Amino acid sequence: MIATGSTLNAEAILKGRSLWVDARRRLFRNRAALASIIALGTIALLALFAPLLSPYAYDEINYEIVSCAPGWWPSATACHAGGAHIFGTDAVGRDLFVRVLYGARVSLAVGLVATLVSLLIGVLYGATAGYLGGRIDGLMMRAVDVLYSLPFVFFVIILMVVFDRNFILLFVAIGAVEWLTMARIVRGQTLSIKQKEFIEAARAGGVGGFAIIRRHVIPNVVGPVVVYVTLTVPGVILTESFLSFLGLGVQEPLTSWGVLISEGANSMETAPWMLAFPAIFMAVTLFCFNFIGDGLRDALDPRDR
Amino acid sequence: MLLSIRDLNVHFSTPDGDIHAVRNVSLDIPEGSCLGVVGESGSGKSQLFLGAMGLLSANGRATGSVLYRGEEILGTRKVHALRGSKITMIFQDPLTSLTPHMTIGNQVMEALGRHMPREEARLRVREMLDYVRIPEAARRMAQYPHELSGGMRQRVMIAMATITGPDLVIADEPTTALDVTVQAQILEILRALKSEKHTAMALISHDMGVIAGNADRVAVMRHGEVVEEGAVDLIFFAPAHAYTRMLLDAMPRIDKGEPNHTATGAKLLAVKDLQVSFPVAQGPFRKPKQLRAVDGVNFELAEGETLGIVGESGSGKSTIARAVLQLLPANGGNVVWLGRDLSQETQAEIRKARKDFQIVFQDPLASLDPRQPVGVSIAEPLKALMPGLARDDIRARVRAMMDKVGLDPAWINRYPHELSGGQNQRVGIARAMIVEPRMVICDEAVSALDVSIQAQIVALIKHLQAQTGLSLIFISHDLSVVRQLAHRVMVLYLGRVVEMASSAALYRQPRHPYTRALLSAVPTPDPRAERAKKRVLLAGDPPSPLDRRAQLSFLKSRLGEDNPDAEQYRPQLLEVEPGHFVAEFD
Amino acid sequence: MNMAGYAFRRFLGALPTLFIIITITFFMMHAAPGGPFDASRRLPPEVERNVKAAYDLDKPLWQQYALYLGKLAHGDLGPSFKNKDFTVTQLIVTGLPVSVRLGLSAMALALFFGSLTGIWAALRQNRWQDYSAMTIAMFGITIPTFVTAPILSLIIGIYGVHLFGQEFSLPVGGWGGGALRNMILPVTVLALPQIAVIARLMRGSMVEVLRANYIRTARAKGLSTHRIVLGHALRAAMLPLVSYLGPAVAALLTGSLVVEQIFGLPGIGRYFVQGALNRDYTLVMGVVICYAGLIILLNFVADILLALLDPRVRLS
Repeated sequence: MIATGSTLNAEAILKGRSLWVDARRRLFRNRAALASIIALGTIALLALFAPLLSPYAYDEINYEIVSCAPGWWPSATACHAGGAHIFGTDAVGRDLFVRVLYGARVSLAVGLVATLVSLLIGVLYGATAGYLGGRIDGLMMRAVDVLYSLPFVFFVIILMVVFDRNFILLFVAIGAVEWLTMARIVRGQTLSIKQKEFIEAARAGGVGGFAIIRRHVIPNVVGPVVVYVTLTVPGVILTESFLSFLGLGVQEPLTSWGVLISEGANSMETAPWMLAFPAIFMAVTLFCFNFIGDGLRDALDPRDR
Repeated sequence: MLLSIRDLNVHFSTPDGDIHAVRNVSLDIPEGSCLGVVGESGSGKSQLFLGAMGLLSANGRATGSVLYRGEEILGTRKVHALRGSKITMIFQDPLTSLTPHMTIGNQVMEALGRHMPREEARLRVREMLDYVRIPEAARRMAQYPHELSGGMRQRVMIAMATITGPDLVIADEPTTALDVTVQAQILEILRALKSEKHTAMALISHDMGVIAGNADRVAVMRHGEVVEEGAVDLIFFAPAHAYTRMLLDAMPRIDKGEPNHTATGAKLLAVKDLQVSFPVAQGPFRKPKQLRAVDGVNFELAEGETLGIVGESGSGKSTIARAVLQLLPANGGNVVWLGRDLSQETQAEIRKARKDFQIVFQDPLASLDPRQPVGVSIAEPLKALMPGLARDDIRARVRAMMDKVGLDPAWINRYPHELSGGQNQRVGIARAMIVEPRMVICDEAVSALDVSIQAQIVALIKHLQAQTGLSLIFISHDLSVVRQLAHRVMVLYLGRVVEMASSAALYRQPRHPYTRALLSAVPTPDPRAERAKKRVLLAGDPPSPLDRRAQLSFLKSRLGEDNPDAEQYRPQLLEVEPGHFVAEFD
Repeated sequence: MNMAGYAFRRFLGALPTLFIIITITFFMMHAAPGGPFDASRRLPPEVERNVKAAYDLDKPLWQQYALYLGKLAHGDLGPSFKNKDFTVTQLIVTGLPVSVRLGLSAMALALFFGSLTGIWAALRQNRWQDYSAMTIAMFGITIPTFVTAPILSLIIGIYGVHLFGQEFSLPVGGWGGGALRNMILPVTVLALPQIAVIARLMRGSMVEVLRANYIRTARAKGLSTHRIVLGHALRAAMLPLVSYLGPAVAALLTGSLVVEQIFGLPGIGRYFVQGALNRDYTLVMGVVICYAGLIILLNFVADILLALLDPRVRLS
């Protein structure tokens, strides 16, 4: 073993496989996660190019084809919407396909922005508490415990009222509540990494405090944070849909999956497609996020689960 | 024949493919005899018996034949009935191997089965706990595993494995997690089990010394295969296989070797009356107690010298390393480096001084950032401590250093998980050596490695020292390894020095009873010597370091107030011969 | 340390939490634009002034806060601004039992079926039973209550009546004085996502525990599978589940807002949404205090349970 050095050609530098590369390989080998990534990508693209995909505008009202089934709908219903209304029409004759895609825009945007807000607050707060440790950490985490005891939905509802249903503030409000768990995860990770020997090794090597955080702590915290982010997005989308159902979400004519589903649920017996399409889209999206989250967790921490 | 294993194979299916952990192994264990199974990590020695007993994890599979008194048991229902009654097991880590939320009394009782009246069962358990020498057995029965020390927990495991009167006890690394003096006590109990109850035993260990003192026959395993099997004296005195010979040669010997002569260079480091204590929480309503991890330690280190620091867990040896390197604040005393008192200097000045003293850690994998290529880890102190070096220069130095420690420079972009433990430890050494320090502290630097790798790393360290004239502080719980390297040795007991002498004097003429017990407890890979050895056993558990009376364990005559919190007299170091210091004892 | 001391200390620790929550809610609620009497017909200025004075709304905010705290200390939650004939306490006393019964039944259901499914799946780890149970659980998590509720009502209410007749089918709405048949549907709807969450949680922690060394020891002792699971694994595997009790209440609360609305149940959730929209300060405060108290209580129970389950917690 001791003689392995120097003999090899010095130019032939071997490429290492980083943990990230390993994780990506494992993630792509996980069929459920891979399918979810593809499905989610498709939905995101559809939502992004929604205006180009349908001849109808999302707020184009047509009282002649109110609550009409799509042309291909099998059962006998009151009417069939003709033309390109592939998902049928809603209670005021708007094209459901384009509305589902616009709903996707809002729901996905709420999910992503709120998650980003929670990520920002949570990481800053958690990393600070974890790195400083001691008394300050205890105090900061006590505050999180207090907020944890707040009835979460009530809090969001009050925030909605306070901000007068401002669409953008809705993101922020949900994010402002969701950060608690993120902060706990980041703090826990920071604390455990701080105790690792390689941090001590870096200190012994004369590396300064800030450089240690940047070079050693943050890269090692990223894994669990990414996993939690993927699992937060579907949670936020669900929360938004609850608020919409309660009449506290986005306002007409703009829409979200929550709004569409709650409208659809009201006319489920007469016009089931109005429930079916948004519900399927939302369920598929949430499924995808959860599968990707689970897949990421397994890929980053490869133990037999 | 009590147990015959024939052509046993164990496979594991993992996401990365099939692993063939045990290959065509055949072994016999006669009634009342002890079979030692020795091998390095990954040799399949544990999986062999887990496979035979049907205890593999869910992705494992054992094939072949296992006969108990001539009857096939592998994969049959019969093995369920035998397990825990006629064939029992003792595992390595007694803390994680005992159910945390069940009292030890209940756990031992459970092994008896349900057919016995509760009162009778309790009585049997108490007798058994007495037998394995657990003091106050009746009270201990109501305690949970975490309330016991490591040695006591392992006694509970033994009690659990013996209470049913088994024919065969399979002991899988039963003493590996324990301190050497505790190991000696546990091995004594296992020997008694064999001689008094005529229980056959399969003793699995990586330690040739443990095997030498206990086994009748020995099987040497490597890569899932038995490479050699035979009577213990034959294996040790006339090994046939090259691997066995290599293992025996690699094994550090406490009873042999030329003494390293004391180097006399200029004084580099002086540690005076060093004190480090930690607050230990005593529950929510009580004030935390101060644990005196290091309690008034003095020593010096000369240029080119190697000082060995030896002690069991809780002796404060790692704390000394961290306090000397200014990684931990000391509560008192001075660390004087080349005449500069580091305890008086600012953080910035200390950071600059770090160029001169570096550290190598115990766990090679844990001490490297898993997300950085090893080249970056090696370069890190260079960038931090010698700013202004050009990129190419850094790269060239890293590659030269890798070559020096026996790593292929082409591996500069490899990650720690792609290297073996020994290679990672070379990375750790390269990282410490790259800034050309004048002193390196090796904190259990070879303890986590297999013996063959251990020998290579020790050779590497010696080689580097000869080349650069470096000073070393070599910290280890393993007295045999320290003997190979150290010029002088310091023995610690609960944060204080009990004996300090040149390596030659200390190993030949230990004065302090604790040093003697420590030396006597180290098993040597020599079956004849082990059989002839008169063992100096310490009684009971090592005392709690929170108990102020503990330091007077060997000087009971000076014990003052009999109260764990009262201040006590501290044994003083006396110079019995020039350079040989011994703490007072009765 | 003894259990009672621990419990008492935790209880004292909860009081400031409640106080902080009251404070946050109070000022947030009052920061909202508008007041309780804006939405209705414009009152003559004089009348409005009198009404405001009657409810102390003309005083500075900090004074209102002090007054509110003072009353609260005597257990008085004040009058409801909108439901003029009732005090908040009366509204809560009528609404809370409905919500709590719903919630607790759903929780009991979820704990039972969730843990059972989780353990079952863990014992068949990575086999088809495990995969199918966990996929079904994923459905439970991703499909919101307000989709399952109408679908179940449709199936049971419409097709059920077709098949079994009016008497033997379940009612799809109304409280019926808390009759069992009225509770079955809403409780099921409420419990479904929680069954899924708990099943996943239980499976994960059970798989982890079954890998522990002490399980291997128990197997080496020759114990049967069910004794290993019940005696050695279950207690440790339940720890994450116990910690989930507090968050579970919050989740059930979200669900109950929807379920009460869909099934037309006279629970507390309906008051809250109406109250928030109408700036019914006292009602909103009352409901928040109630639920915060409930969550704190369950977190407290969880801590005690944790200490009982794990002897190591008791010491540190």
